[in-house]
This record gives sequence, structure tokens and C-alpha cells, in this order.
Amino acid sequence: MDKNILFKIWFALLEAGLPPKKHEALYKDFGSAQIIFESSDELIKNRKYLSMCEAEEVINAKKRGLPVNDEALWRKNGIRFVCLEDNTYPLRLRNITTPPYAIWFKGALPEENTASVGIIGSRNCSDYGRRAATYFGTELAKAGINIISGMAVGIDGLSQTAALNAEGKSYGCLGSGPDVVYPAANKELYNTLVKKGGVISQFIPGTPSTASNFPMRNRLISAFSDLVLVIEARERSGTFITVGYALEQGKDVYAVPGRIDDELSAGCNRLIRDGAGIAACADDVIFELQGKAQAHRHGFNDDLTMAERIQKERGKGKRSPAPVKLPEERDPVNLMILKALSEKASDAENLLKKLSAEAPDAGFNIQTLLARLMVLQMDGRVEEHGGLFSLPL
Amino acid sequence: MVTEIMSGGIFGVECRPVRVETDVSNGLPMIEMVGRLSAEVKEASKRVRVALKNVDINLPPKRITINLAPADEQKEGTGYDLAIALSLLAGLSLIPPESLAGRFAAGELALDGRVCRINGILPMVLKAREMGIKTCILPRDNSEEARAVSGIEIIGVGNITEALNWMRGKKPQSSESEFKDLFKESEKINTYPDFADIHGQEGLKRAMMIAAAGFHNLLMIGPPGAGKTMAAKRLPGILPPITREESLEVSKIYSAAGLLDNTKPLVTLRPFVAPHHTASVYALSGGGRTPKPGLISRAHRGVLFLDEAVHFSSQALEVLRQPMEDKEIRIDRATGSCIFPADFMLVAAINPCPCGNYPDPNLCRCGADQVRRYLSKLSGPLLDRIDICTEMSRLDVKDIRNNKKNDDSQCSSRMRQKVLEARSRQDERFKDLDIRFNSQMNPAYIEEFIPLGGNEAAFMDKAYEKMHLSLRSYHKILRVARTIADIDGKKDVELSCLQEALCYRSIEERYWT
Repeated sequence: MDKNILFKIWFALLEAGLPPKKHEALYKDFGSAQIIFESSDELIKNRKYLSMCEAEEVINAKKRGLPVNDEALWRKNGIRFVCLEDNTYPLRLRNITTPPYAIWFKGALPEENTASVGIIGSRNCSDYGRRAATYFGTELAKAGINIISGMAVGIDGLSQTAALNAEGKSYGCLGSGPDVVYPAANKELYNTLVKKGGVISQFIPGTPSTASNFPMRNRLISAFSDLVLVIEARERSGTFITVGYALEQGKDVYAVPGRIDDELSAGCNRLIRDGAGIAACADDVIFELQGKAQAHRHGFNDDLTMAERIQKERGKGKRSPAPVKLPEERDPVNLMILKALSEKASDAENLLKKLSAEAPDAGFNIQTLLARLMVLQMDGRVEEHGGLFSLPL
Repeated sequence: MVTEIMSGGIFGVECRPVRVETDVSNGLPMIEMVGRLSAEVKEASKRVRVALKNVDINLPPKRITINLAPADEQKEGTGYDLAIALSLLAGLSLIPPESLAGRFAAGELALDGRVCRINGILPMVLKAREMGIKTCILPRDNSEEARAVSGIEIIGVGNITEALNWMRGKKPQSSESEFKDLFKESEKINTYPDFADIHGQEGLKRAMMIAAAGFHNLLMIGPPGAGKTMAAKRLPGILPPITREESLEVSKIYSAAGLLDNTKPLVTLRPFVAPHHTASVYALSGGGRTPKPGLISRAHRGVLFLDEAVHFSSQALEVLRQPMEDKEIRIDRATGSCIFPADFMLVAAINPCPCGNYPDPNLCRCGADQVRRYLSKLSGPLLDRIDICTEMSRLDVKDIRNNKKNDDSQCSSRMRQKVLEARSRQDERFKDLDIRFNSQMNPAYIEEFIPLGGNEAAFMDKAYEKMHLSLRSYHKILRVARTIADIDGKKDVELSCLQEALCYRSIEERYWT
């Protein structure tokens, strides 16, 4: 077994006992975890930037020895580890200021040469946000773009679920250890992510999810994304932490516009006022990515631009062909229903009223209308949420 | 000499017969009462003594022993007073002892000799008839209710003197002793309001009709003011009229609960019980040291309407689970167990979210998890037992103002007609079986009575796949589809029935995305 990785994990675990800055300084000073572990106690104590206590912490950790058991257990559970010393350390992450020393993940890390979009937004989202998240998740995934998000309830989880359902790839950045599922409601999403993408964390396995972890997680989300898309955020929202990091890291920020009187969209509208891009459809985001040179192109052998990469992905035929017209749709009554719904989402009651007014002789009644709506719904031509029927986005 | 007369006490909704025996012999003057009596029964001796004194009958200085048999059962309540007094009078030879044979007496005595009303007269009289008793002597205030029972003579007495006179052979006012077909007399009156009062909401009316026809439990989801409560109040009016047996069953419960009187001696309409959401567990289930029927039993053969169901305490909601399955509730207490019937149709009304306006994007500001949390107050097992779930929307004020009574709008009589037709089809179907309604079909019956044709089976397969239905909701949909077919007069369940039934599937499959 690679003993080297044990030194790295040993040093990564030290993160829990040292302030982040000291930890970083220690790494910069010595340049390798193994050297730190093997240097004498005196040498550690003589570091000017370490206080007595901190030096003591490092020396005690050395006495405890290498985390052989932990490493074996984590390996058994499929938790993988990569650190700054490794060549496989994600480039996007290496490029930010003060990248975390260690990254733990299950599944895979985002491919370096595939465009990625971070979709973020309110946990407590509205129906509009829900639909927008599903739409962007699906469409971007179909364009071969990876979706990065935080696996939370609301926008995060919805966009990731949509991307995975569209056979795309998605990666979740967690505010807990990579083996801790939070929120528990997203257990299924977590399992799918592990299979079809990955879950990534900078926290030691087993770390519970606490509020103070989330800003760090948000930094990971923006770091892994080439572009950050905000769907629904209140005026004061945790989403802005991610946006702040994204700007700091030089990433583009796009926002889905909302109505001016909608509290849930106030944050998005403000972002647009402040100069964020407007994401009114998936192509807005895709074009933006295409026009962009890959920020860390030096890491690749080929010399493709982002546009070429997206084109390449698209060429694989991931985008589904335009939906086939179903026989039901040629039915005049169904056409009436679809037309009425395209003007305004409506419940069955009002739809019945409207159709009866349009065609009083057709003999519409509630039971036949419900039956027809059901069929359309099963074919995916109509969506229903809480009794309100609408056309899918 | 020992004299005896029959009486009875109420336990649950049944009467336990009690024999009241009196012995008068020489010895120290006293009245002794035995037979595992609770305090209020022991006090009967004092009430009887004073009541007799006040009608000028003074007890002689004798040793009087009164036994309430069977002596090993706990006796409670004040209903034994009249029987004690009569057996005592016979013991003193003030009335002929043989006049007590084959007689049943119950009633409470006041100190001035009046006979006061007691609860549970109807089960007592039914029990008396079962035991072969010919005559019941009962408080006049309760006698109306007793006269609903045929084949037994009822003597209503206002005070102890009247009872005495009757026993001595003086004929009372004859008309009161006869059986009166209360059920027949009041049958025609349906006082429930009409569905025609509700503007629009055709979808809801349709759902209510289906629920009434198949006795399916119903959940209404809609914004405040959409007419949920209004509709629920009209539901019992479209249920088929209560039958004679059902009426007696329900009246027994009401009698035991002390809810019947001479102005309303029999329950002749299907009950509609709408507890407030602060109702406690025991208010719903029934209980107490000597168990009393709760609200779910009072809704027997009728409608239990839970308005704002999510605001009921979770324990109160959970207590409904077992009765909804077994159609009765068993109350176990130290004094014994009793079973109250509780075959009700649950109708629950909730708002779709805390603000009440979901999914209207213009009005609702609730987040997805708020909606989920709000709806999840109805537990899964409870939702399992609800077959039909329907949404309603806010009415347009213009529609209300311009409402012309159009012919298409459903009114109660027309709906009831359809329900009756559907019921008779079910009666035909289940005539040799132990079930009566489509909602009671188990998977074996579903297979037998709901044969699906090629198209129908293909549709259900597709629905099962696409809508991520559970097997349970698959069965629910078939049951509801069967009722829809019955309402529309179709022999087999057709595609349109299945499609419509699918629209009423449970909220957990629609909201909790």
C-alpha cells in the first residue's frame, strides 16, 4: 500500500486541530506531509508561526501515529482522497486562493475538460423556482454540461435530480463529511450522485453538517463551476455567499429573472441590476460558456475552446430530438385544451368554464375533461401541481 | 318474602340486565343494599325512602335488604331507583308482588317522587324485548324513544304514584303505551341543505357523489372560502336514506350517550358530526371509566367531517386509523371492554398550504418545503385510507354574482338519485358477500369484480409506470373507478372511468414531488 497517502491523510486530519491559516503555513513551509511527519519535534517547535499549543498539537498528532485504520475503513466505504500534493488535485480548485489541502469524495471528481455550471438558490423555493431548476438542470445536462450544486432541498436538489434524470452528470458539494447524507430527505439523490457523478467535501468523513460548514461548501461549489447560475434567492440569502466567492474566483454569475414583487426573486433581480447575466433560457448560459476561453487551459493536452468542447459534447447526440407529435394532439378537443392552457395555467374547474364558453355545443363535462387531462398528463403534454394544470416548460 | 323486578344498566351501548331483589323481614329497622354497588347506586335507598315519604308512603320499621343481581358486576348510574322502589313496594305488599313478573323498570327518582329521565333507554328496551319481557315502566321523559321498539308495552310514568296506580291495575292514558312507528313518520324529512346552493365546483360535487355512492373516504383540498365546509354539510343529504336497522343502531349509540329526548326520540337522518380541531383523543374515540361513545361512534353510518384536519392533534388523527379499518372501536377499561360501532365516512378538509393559496402563483408565497411540512401533518397511514382526494379553487366573484341556475348544475336530489342507482348496483354485486360497498373490496374482490379489458389494462400499466403509483394506490384507483362506472351506469369499468379515478389519487403522489 502507498504509505505516502497515509502521511497525507494524517496531515489532512490535523486540519481539525489547527487554525486553517496555520495549517496552510505549515504545508507551505515544509511542502510535503511526509516531511512534516518525519521532522523532529524541535523543528516543529521552532516554527515562528506556530504557538506553543499549536506546536504541541502537531507533536501529539505525530505521537498518535498514522491513521492506518481510518484509511482502511474509508477506503472500504468508497471514500476517496486527494490533496494538494497530488497531480490529480482538481485544477479548478487549485486555481483559487487558499485551496483546501484535502478533498474527500465518493464517486468521481468533475472532469476537468467539461464545462460545468453551478446552480444555486433558495431551499424554500416557489413553484416557479422549482420549474426553473428542473428546466435548467435538464437542458444544461443535455448540452453535456456538468451541474455542480449543494445537494440541499429546493433549487439545489431539484436541478441535480433533473440533470441526473436527463442522463447528465452532476456533482454535489457537501457541508458535511462525504459519507454524511444531509438532508436525509435527499438520500436517493445522494446515492444517484455517487453512481452517476460524485459527492465532494473538504471535511473529514463523519463530520456532521453544521451551519458554519456551509460557507466553505459554497466556496467549493463556485470553485468547481465555470459559471454560477442563481435561481430564486431572497434579498438576504445564503446564496450570496456562493455568489461572493464566484466573483472573487472570477466566475461569471447568471441569474434567472423573477417578478419584481416576488420576494423569492428579489435577490436574483438585484444580481441582474448589479450586472449579472440574465438567464432566460438555457441557451443564454450555453452561449456564455461557449464564448469563454477555458480558464485553466494549460492543464490540457488539446487546445479546444469551451465552445468546441460544448459542440463536441452536443455532437454526441445528447440533446433529444424535438418531441414527436402524438395522435392525441391532433384531436380537436385536446388542441383546445392545450391552447387554453398555453394562455394561462388553470384548474379543471375554470378550464371547463372556458371550454364550455368557447364551444357550448361540445357537451363538455367535468368527468370527461378530467379524463382527458389525465391522458395528456401521462404523455407529458400537461403538468399538474396541486390541482393546477399547466404546459410543461 | 322476596320480590323481584328486572332492570338494567348501560355498559358501552349495550344494556346489562340486572335483577332487583328485595327482602323485608323483622329485625333492626334499616335499608341494606348489596351487589357491588357504586356510590350513586347505594344512595338510591335514601332517594327511595324520601320519595316514598313525600307521596305519603312511610316505610315500616323493618329490616329491608335489597340485592342487585348478578352481584359480581359493578353497578353504576341512577337508573335503578324506580326498580328498587317498585320491588320494595311489592315487598311491603303495597302492590301485588305478582304484578312485577315479566316487568322491566328503570328511572331515577327525585325526592318529591318524580321519575326523571335517564340515558340509554333504547338499548334497555331492546334488551328487555330480547329477554321476553312484556312491559317496561320508564320515565315519561324517555318514553317516546322507547316506543320506537315494537312488540313491547311501554308505560311512561311521571312520578312514583302513577307507577303505583298502574301496578294496582288502574289503566293509564292508553295512547302512550303503544308502539309508534317513529321511523316511518319522520322518514321524509331531509333537513340537510341542498348542493344547488353551491356555485360551480362541479368537480367537487362529482367527487362527493362518487364518495357517497361507494362510501369512499374523501379529502378536500382548497383555499379558504372555496366552499369545503358548505359542501361537506350537504354530503349526508345525498347519502341514501338511513334504513330502519341502521336508524336503530345509531339511536342506540345516541341513547347511551344521552342525546335523545322526547322531541327527538330516534335518529332518522344520517349523522353528520363535525368536531372542532381542538377535539381530544377521548372525545373522538370515546372513553371514560365507564366507556361512553365518542364522536366517531356518533358518526356511525354517517359522516365524520374534520375541518382543517391538519390542525387536529396527531394523536387524535391517529386514533381514527383502527376504526376506519375495523368499522368499530374497542375501548378497554378496568371495568371491562366494550365495542362501539364506528362505521363512518371520513371527510377531511384542508388548505393546501399555510397561507391557503397554493398553487396559485399570484397569491401563494409558501415554499415547497412549507407546503410539504404542512401536508405531512396527515400521516401516511391515514392517507392510505382515503380513496378520493380532490382540489377546489377559489371562486370568481363574478361567477357568484352572475350565477344563473343552469340546468347542468347538480342539485342534491339529482345527485342522490345517481347515488341510489350506484348503491343498488353494488347491492346486486355484493348480495352474497360480507361487504356492501366498493370501498370495502379487498384485492381478491377487485380481481373478481373489476375485470379490465385490453385497453384498460394497458392504460393502468402505463399509469402505474409513469405516475410511480404504489400498489396500494393502484387498488384505490380501481375501487374508485368501479364506483364511477356504477354511477354512470356502465357494466364494466371503462377507460374513461379509470382516467377519472386517476385524477382523484392521493396527495402524496401529487404534491410531494
